[in-house]
Amino acid sequence: MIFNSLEFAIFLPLIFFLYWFVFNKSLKAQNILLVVSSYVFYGWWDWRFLSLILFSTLVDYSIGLQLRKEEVKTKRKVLLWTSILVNLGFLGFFKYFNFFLDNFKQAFTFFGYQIDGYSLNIILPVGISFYTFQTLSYTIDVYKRKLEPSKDFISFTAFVSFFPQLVAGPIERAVNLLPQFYKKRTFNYTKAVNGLRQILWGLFKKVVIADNCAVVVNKIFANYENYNGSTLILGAVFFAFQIYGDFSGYSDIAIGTSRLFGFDLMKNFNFPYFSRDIAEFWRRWHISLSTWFRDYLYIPLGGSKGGTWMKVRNTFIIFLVSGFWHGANWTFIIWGGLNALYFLPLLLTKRNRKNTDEISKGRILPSVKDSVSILFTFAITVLAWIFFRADTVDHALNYLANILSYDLFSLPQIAPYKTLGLLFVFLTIEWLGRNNNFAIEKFGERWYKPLRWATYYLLIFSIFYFAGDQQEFIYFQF
Amino acid sequence: MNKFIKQVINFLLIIVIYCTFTGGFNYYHAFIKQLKFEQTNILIAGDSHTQKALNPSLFKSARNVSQPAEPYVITYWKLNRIFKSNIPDTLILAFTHHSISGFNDIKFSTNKWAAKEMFNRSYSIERFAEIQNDVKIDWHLKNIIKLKNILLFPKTNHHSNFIGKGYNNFSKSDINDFKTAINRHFYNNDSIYSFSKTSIEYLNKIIHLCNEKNVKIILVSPPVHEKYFNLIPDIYLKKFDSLKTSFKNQQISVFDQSDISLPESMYLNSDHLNSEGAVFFTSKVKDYIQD
Repeated sequence: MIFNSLEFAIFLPLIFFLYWFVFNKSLKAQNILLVVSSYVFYGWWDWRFLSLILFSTLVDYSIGLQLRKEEVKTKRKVLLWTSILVNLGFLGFFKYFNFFLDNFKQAFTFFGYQIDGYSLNIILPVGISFYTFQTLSYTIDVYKRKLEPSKDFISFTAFVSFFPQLVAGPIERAVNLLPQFYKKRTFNYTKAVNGLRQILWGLFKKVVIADNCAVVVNKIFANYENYNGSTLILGAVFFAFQIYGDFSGYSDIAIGTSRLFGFDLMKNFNFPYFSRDIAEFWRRWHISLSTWFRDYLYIPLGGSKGGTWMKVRNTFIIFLVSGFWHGANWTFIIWGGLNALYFLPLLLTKRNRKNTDEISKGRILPSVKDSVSILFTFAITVLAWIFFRADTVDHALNYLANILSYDLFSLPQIAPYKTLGLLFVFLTIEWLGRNNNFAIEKFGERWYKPLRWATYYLLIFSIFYFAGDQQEFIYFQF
Repeated sequence: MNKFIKQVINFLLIIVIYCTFTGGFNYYHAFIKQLKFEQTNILIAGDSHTQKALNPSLFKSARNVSQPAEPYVITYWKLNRIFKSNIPDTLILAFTHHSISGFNDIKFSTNKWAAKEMFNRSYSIERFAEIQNDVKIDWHLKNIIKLKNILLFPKTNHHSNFIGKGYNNFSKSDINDFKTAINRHFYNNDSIYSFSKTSIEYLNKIIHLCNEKNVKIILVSPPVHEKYFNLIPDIYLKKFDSLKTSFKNQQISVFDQSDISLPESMYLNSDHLNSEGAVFFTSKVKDYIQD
């Protein structure tokens, strides 16, 4: 089931009603409802993969209980590694098996050996990378004794499969989300209204911005040989907004939906395209994944405590692994590598935490210095996105080569005025709301109610009116 | 909670009231109100080939309701609607090699542009349920487009979507697109499209409808450039000829000019006539009707 579908428009109010009016007497009943509805939500795509989630849940729950009793360090380690191997084993098989096989075959062929091996026709279960990382965080935190292992199987199952964030995040930490399933939730009016507002903004980002950009992007990337340099730049810039609208829109809907059920999920995007350097961009983009890698990979590797070499090595490791997390393709690894390269000068000159304050605080428009920094950061991000979007490394390199063709300075061959207009409105609203959790969180807060409602109606109207061709959420494939 | 539910209901109520008003208004104008259509003796229907090739102003009383890429399914629904209020003496219908190609079956799903365009034109006349077993339909897109047209704005010109803008043409000429046009019409990547059973079925339905309403039907194939004609797959040439023979046996007039040779200056592109070509072809069709 996807968020921008009729099925979800029926599913959400139905579950909301059952949750607050039928199952509200008992916490356990509410959690059971959440588990059942989450399994229905996921099974809507392919019910066969529900067994994977259930198996992962059973393994991590049992290991958690074992870790509770076990005091011997080596045995605890064995338990931890069992969980890691089972979870990453599934991920490796479904997501990376063919990639490794093909690359091994190519490597052996390069050295003159022919090896047999057949690629398998494997379907990638939706959201496997997300829920795998979420359950891993549980076992690791329990192992490190940062979290009490769960004795409540229903709550734990609800934590693993919680439908708003099951397939595309935010990747929640057990420390933050699991305790929320133990406590009785009470309905909070402000929180629920805020949730609806965030859902509305998420839908706008996805349906109006991302899907309209996607139409242009698909056309340009599929026929890049036929377009001049400026059109190709336009395609790459539109992809930057497509992926932002798509993914942050999904996160907004997920967070907003959770609020309706009394849950608080972590913020996943913080206006990343207004970042003044790449370090700030990575503090604002896919925050739940970046902090996951920071906590469970970067810091265990030594973080930035060691010498320069150690810092550089660790930085490259997390960016490359982060790229590989996105997909079994060299394009993602190069995307990660490029971002590591961008990050490196800031790290070496210790300027990676320079921009931690509010962007252009108290100003309506950014200063010239901020504008230049924002535009530069956006430009290098767009360059890396070309690898992320391309089907193969060759595709990306040819795309880049064509950008640098002689007609770079001629006018684009495609003039998507409607989408450009929508982007202008979108960026204006995002800029004005940049200091909030999401752009329209406080939009019109002090306005007369009919005027505020009229704004919401306008947004709903534009969602229907400007709806582009429905596209899959990009991050589902990860 | 009560306050929340009340606010949500109030908020949605305004939307419901608005949608009920626009929905009711549009429903009447799209589905109930009689089609405003000037009485004509000759009606020209089909895809871009008849749209470009037949200039209705050169007839005494004719109207061209052809639209680009229109498959027979939509033409049939359209004629059904038009014949409810206006029955012409003669229907001139496009009948070309690619009219029976499986390419027509993907217009409601695979090709997003076409699907959007087809759903936008046909929402007030469609009966997709009838063809759902034979043709893949993007139901989600179809429903969204229908809802958008019915619920968003009150409007009165729904019928113009399926009637179209009629004849329009230019004087320019460039026939270099023949390979692209052939690939689009007959090839799915490298393999040849199979025939569209649905298109052939609906062509027969149109003929049946005309017989029922006592409308004389003339199937016309406007000229295409020889570079295009020579690349039409053999199986399509044969199938077209066999259908032509079958129609002639049923006393249906078929005016096939697809393989006649015309100067390049008469072609808009490899498979469409330009305004000069349209003058020539319209006069030939007029002569044919008079004969």
